[in-house]
Amino acid sequence: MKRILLSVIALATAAIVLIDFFVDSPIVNQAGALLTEGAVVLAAFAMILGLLNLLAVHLARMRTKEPGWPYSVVLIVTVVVMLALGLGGPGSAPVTWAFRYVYSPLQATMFSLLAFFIITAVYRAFRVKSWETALFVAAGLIVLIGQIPLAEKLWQQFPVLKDWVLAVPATAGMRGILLGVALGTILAGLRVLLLMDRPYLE
Amino acid sequence: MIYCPECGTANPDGSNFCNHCGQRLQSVVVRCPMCSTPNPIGTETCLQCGARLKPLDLTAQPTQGAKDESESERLPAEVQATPEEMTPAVETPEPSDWLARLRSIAAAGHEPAEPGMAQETGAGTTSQEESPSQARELRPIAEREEAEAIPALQAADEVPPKEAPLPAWLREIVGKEAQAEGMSTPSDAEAQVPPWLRRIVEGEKAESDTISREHPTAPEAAIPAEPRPEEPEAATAFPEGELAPAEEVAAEAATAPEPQPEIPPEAEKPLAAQDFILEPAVPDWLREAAEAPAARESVSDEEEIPDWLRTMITPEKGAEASLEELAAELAPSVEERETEEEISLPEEAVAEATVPKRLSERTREEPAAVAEPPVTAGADLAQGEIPKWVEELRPTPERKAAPSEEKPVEGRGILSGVKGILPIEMLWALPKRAEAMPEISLMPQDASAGDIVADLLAAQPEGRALPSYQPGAAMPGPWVRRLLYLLLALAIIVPLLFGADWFSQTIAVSDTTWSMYDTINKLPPGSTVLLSFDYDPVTAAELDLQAGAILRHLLQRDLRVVALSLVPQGPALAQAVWSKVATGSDYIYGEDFANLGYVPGEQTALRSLVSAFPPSGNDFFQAPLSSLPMLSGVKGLRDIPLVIVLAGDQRFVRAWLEQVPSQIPVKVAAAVSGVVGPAVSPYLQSGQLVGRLVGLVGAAEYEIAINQPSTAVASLGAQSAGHILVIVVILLGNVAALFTAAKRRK
Repeated sequence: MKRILLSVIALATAAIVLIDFFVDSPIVNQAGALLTEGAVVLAAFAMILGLLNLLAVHLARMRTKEPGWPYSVVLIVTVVVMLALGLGGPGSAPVTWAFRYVYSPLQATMFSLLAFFIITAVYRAFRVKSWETALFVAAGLIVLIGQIPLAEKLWQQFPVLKDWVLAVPATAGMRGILLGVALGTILAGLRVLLLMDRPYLE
Repeated sequence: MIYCPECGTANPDGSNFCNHCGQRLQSVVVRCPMCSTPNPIGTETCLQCGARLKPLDLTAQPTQGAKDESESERLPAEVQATPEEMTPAVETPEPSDWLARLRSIAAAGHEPAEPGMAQETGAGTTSQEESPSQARELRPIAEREEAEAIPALQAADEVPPKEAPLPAWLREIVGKEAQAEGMSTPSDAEAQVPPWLRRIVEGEKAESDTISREHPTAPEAAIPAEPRPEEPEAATAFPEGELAPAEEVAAEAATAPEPQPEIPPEAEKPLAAQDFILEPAVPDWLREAAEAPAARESVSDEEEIPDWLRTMITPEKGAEASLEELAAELAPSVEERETEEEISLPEEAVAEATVPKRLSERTREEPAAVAEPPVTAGADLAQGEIPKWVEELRPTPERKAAPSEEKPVEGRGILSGVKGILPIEMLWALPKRAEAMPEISLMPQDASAGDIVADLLAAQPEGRALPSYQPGAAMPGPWVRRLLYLLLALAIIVPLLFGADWFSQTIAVSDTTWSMYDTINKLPPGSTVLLSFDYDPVTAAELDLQAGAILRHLLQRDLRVVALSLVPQGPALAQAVWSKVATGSDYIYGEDFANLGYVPGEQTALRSLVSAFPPSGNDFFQAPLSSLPMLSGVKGLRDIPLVIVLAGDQRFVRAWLEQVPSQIPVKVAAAVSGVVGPAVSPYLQSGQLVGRLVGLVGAAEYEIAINQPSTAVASLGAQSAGHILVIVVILLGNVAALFTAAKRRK
């Protein structure tokens, strides 16, 4: 009975939201809007649930003294501090200060390290060993040179060549990926609508 | 082999039930078919009566040495012995139980055995009695069992003889013993002795004389068994077609009657002789064995009896016995001979004997199926012949010459030419593989599938093999890596610190940038533009500059800006950009700019934003949206003509394009990081995006477009320097790879 009830709820919700895309009816539109707003509320609660789960996991690690448990202590302390700072709202001065001078620099630093990985990676990976790797190296050099404003001084066709590489071969490949993703999304939606997949029962 | 105690059927070892009658088998013992004595599994002969419990394997191929031994074991002594070795054998010290028992039984029942005969039961007859029994083992076990049982059954019906009978072969052995002890041979019968037999007799006489001279008291076992020099001549002196002495002796041994089965005194149940029909149950081979002595004995002429045989008999009957008496005694009539051969046990002994049930049943089940063959008195030894099975066992030269295994011949070294040298590599070489795979019958479809698999396995990968990982050549050393890190840091820091304005002088604004610029310029003043800050500090270095340039352009165009974010970090970044742009200007929060904060739910949230702004009803600073003057006429995305998505991930651009333009007529432009740029190109080419900025270059281009070069243009020099360094490293890496490859080739 429980499974049937959950299946009926899921099917009805999906059907209403889907119909809302194609039917311009106030009742259907209000019903669709209600359901989507409910989904947003659920997503917000999911954030709270995720926070509680995170705390539970790291508290357990602290109790059992698993390897790396001091990092769990740091994480819990940070969460508590940010929650305390956020009591005044996300736009409060303490939160803005912590975000601007702690969180943003740390995350930017982590990402900036990629530049050093890339410089050693290109030293090893961009090797001409076959005609495929030659094409790969050539495309990379063209895009890199085309990004440099001075490239136009060297050869006026460098920016044109770069745009062609990005607009034709790269976009063609990307379009194929997007089409595949779209078809996969449609298939996944149909499976849920036809009750072939019931992730809500898991 | 396990014999069924009920029916006697031979069952394989380990059988629990009889294959013939289903009787449960005693798996722990093997019951003797002759005396029913239980014997342990694996026993070759019965512990009680000596009957063989396992049939011999005639098909086995022993090694040469073992083969000779086995053949010598299987063959009767008469068959394998040379003429010189036909002297009484005394090597086996075993007493002849069955013969002694037989004689004692006969003596007790009828007449006392003669003194000479009693002496013969000693060592002198041991080898002779074993030889027929071993020859008997070579026959099929069923026939053997019948042959052993039937004489006993016949004896139960007939009157036992007055004296304990001896088979002809045993009688010969007795005579030989007597001859070896120095008995003289009558010379008048020498002419009747065949030349080969005469040679044997002479040799025996000479040998026994020698032994008696050299070792007057030595036992007979001390007689040397080595062949004499004249042995080959004697062996080759017989023309083809004429039986050699050994062959004739073998024929005699083959045609000799089987020794009587020993009857254990502790036999369990008496045997009823009238229950058996004896004559028809005689097998062929037994009939042949019975015929041959009869035919031989039928030649009862005095001339036919060799003198050496008379000398053998003489000690038993006494030196004064006449030749006629001996001949009459040694050559009885056919009827008597048959009677003698059939006689085995007196009634008392038979009564105690235990005949297995299977034998009695078999005898009852096979009544008179085989007619008794006629006994011809004229049959001689030449027709008595060696039975086929004995002939096959003769050690022919071909059989001896056939090597069981080809031995390798050493080809070098001091042992060259020597056979059987064990190769050295065999000590450590891998085990030999099977020379041939067993044949497997395949169905056609299986064969075709197997061919496909075989082709796939045999197919070589097209093109060259994939380059293998070479850590030494591919991975730069630690000093190279550190140098690259240092150069990269310098390439970025130096332009930022000291500026690189000469880079900005060459920036060309792309068409996609102009497209976004034109779209914003076309919006009527006072319109509201939504900026979605869907990125985090990871890509803020690029997108913050894009957002600043776009925000400035919007404010310059007197457009109102609403900011929201689909990621939690976005609202703070939006507020930081606003703060930077608004600093030093007269833009007012709430009138020119509003930050709605984080909207969870991504696509679902975007769908809900179409009709109304966030359900919380508060902005980033928890102020009611109704308190913001600029939002008095803006309730949702329906009231916004342009959405500019600032995304560090393509999924946010896709979410906006999928959820919003499909419901409301809103234009969407994208300002993305350099990594996401190619991913949103399809939407730009399809017209779903009205404009696009990509990375730091896009920010610099937009700053150039709005004619307000700022941080983006200043940062472009550092980025360009980094790109140049990457290009150089790529070229250096390939050059180093070429040098490394050339060095390896050398």
